[in-house]
Amino acid sequence: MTATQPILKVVGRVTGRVRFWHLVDAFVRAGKWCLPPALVLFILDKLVDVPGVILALPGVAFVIAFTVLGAKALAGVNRFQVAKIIDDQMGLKDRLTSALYFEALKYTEGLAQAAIEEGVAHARHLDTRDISVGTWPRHSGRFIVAALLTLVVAVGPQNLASFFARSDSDTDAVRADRGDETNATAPAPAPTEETPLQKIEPKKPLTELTRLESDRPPERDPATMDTTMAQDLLEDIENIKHALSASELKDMEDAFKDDNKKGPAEEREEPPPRIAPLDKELLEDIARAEKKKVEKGEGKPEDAIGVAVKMPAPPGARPRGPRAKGGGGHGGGDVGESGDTRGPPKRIPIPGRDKLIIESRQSKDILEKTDLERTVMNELMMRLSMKDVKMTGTAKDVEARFTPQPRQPVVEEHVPLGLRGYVQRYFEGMGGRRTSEKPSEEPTDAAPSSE
Amino acid sequence: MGKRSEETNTEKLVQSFRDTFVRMSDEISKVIVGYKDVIDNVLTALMSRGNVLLEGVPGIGKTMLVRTLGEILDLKFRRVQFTADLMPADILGTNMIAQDEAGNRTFRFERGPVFTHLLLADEINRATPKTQAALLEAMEEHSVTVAGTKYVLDEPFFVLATENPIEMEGTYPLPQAELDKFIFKLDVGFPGLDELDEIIVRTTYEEMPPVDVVAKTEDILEMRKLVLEVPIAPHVEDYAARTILATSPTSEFATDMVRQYVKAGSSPRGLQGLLLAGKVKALLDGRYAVSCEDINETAHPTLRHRIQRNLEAEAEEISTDAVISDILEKTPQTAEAV
Repeated sequence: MTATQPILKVVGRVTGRVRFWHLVDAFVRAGKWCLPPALVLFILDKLVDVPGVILALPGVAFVIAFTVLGAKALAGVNRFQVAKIIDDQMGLKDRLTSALYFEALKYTEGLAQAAIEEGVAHARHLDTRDISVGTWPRHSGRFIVAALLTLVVAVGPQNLASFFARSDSDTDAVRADRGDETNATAPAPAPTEETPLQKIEPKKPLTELTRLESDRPPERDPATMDTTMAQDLLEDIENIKHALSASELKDMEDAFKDDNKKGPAEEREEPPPRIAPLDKELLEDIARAEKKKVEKGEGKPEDAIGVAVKMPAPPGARPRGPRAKGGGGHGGGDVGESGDTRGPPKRIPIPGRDKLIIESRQSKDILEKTDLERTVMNELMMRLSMKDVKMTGTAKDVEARFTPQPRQPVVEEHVPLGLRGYVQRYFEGMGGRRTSEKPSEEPTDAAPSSE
Repeated sequence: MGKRSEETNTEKLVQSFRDTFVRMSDEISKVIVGYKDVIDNVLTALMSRGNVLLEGVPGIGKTMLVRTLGEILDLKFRRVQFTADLMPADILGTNMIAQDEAGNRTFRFERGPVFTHLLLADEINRATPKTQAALLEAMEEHSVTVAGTKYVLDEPFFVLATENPIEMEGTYPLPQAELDKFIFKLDVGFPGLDELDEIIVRTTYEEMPPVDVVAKTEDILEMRKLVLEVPIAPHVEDYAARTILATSPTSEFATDMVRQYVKAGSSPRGLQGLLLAGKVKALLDGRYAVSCEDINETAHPTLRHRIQRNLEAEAEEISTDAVISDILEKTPQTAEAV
């Protein structure tokens, strides 16, 4: 037992607190370095799409910095340092520290011995509860403000409330976001554990998915349909994001954002045929028939149907600009509100049956996922397709999951005379389905069923 | 049992040191009105084997302070008024031809005023550098060499020099080498209204009060010996060393202010002064070891004349005290494991 045992007891009682505050200091220092870049990256992410890997870098750096600084701080805690802290806090003018040093250095004569005895005497009368060894590190206030700011930027001000209340009022918040007024006014149901698939509403009959292009809302321009569809999909995903994991949502949003960010068709690396080739032919035939009517005097020129189809512009075409009055159009009609001045419509040859794929970037992402994820995504897509959204996915996928042919006609409508040629070519394009020498007037095996 | 008696003896020595010191201070205060800090620092320098440079306007009691100090300690006191025509021999002494009864002529060393216990070098900056330099050996080594013969001065030897800060015409500022020989440079400010009233009462209505002899030469030497025995913990030594290094603009411990305003920092003699004065402060506080607070307390008088400011500091009127305060504030007090 050493002469400085009372001092060591006091020091031992305070060491834990000293270590804690050292860790706090290391935490703040690490955060001080990593929060600014994190904040910048999150702000940047709001402007341009920043990959998740880069967004995670400040977090990784924080963990590393905190580990290093914390280990260094804890390694620096020794009994002399703690004694010095106690001396400073209690106004002992280095009595405890000097006593420990003199004991360790075997200074046990004369004034040194007296100093040891004096330090021990002071230690015996010390109450460690009075010792306040910790102080908030410098710039703690700035650190907290920066952390809150980063959280707000990362989560988003509009989502901050739901971010904190997600665990207990998850369902309510999502329903309110989706604009479901009935559910929003209803009392909140008891939170239950549901799997993502259970949260998805039951799928509706397939007949609702198979809609002709002519059934689309009239205000939609076929040339811009893809953009509208993508925006609708993005909104719907936003509304039901609770049903999926964060990574899945991120992937979906990234995919749609990428799609929206793409420029005109000629700038795309692999321009997807947003409008089905058959749809284009249909529209072209309609336009051609109407034009003939006008030429024969059966209709007024103002009743002519304008058809505009986005096609890749030929090299050297005039760049996009303000719409030229009376010029720049083609097909004898208006070019539409888009002001597009790209090249004339081009007939797209209808390839074989296997090429009847209405494919988009979203469908590619789905195919890259696991079976479970693909199932969830398909369920999600099914729900989205209940709106005015064209289903995205390959025809093979749809065929694999549903009855190859509907038992009942999907649509019962009279085929206009001008479309008979189109229907005939359609079934020829399907291959092996031409059943009679006379083409049917009704599209019994409607092609949109593949959608 | 022996250990206990030894502890008791140590406590008695320390207590005696404190009592003697306090009595000396009180006795001087009978004559000198105010300036308690100056008096204590002069006594501290005396116990630390150092010399003191007093800077203040004329007529504020500097000479009276030294004279009173000599009286209470029963020490020999000499005063030299430094002027431009003062020669080194006037201070140190000179060899004179002496003729004995047989008619033989020999050189005999006539001792100068430096051969005393307390030497007051009044307005030391008015003498030429050559004369100023004559004091170097006496101040540092407590000896004088004349014509190849070395004469040892009596202990305790204590030089107290004064400077006038406002009347600088015809003066020779002390070189850094000589400034370094002073352990303290004390700024003696002008007394306040209360002090002036007290001075009026004490000096214009009655005779100066007599002072008692508090300690003798042997007591002073014993006290000096006790000061040397005060231990210093490693972390205090380290703190003092880092403080001295921080005064140099080229040091890694230098603060931003030092790098901007300081031309040259303290010498290692400054570190010695810090620790010796710190020991005295510890004893006066009733402690047996030096603390970092003692270092802080003695830093200003010890370092203010050892730090050389650059032109920028002089232009911006940045004092060395401001630089020292910045150093003390930013130099951490740490305790590393041994």
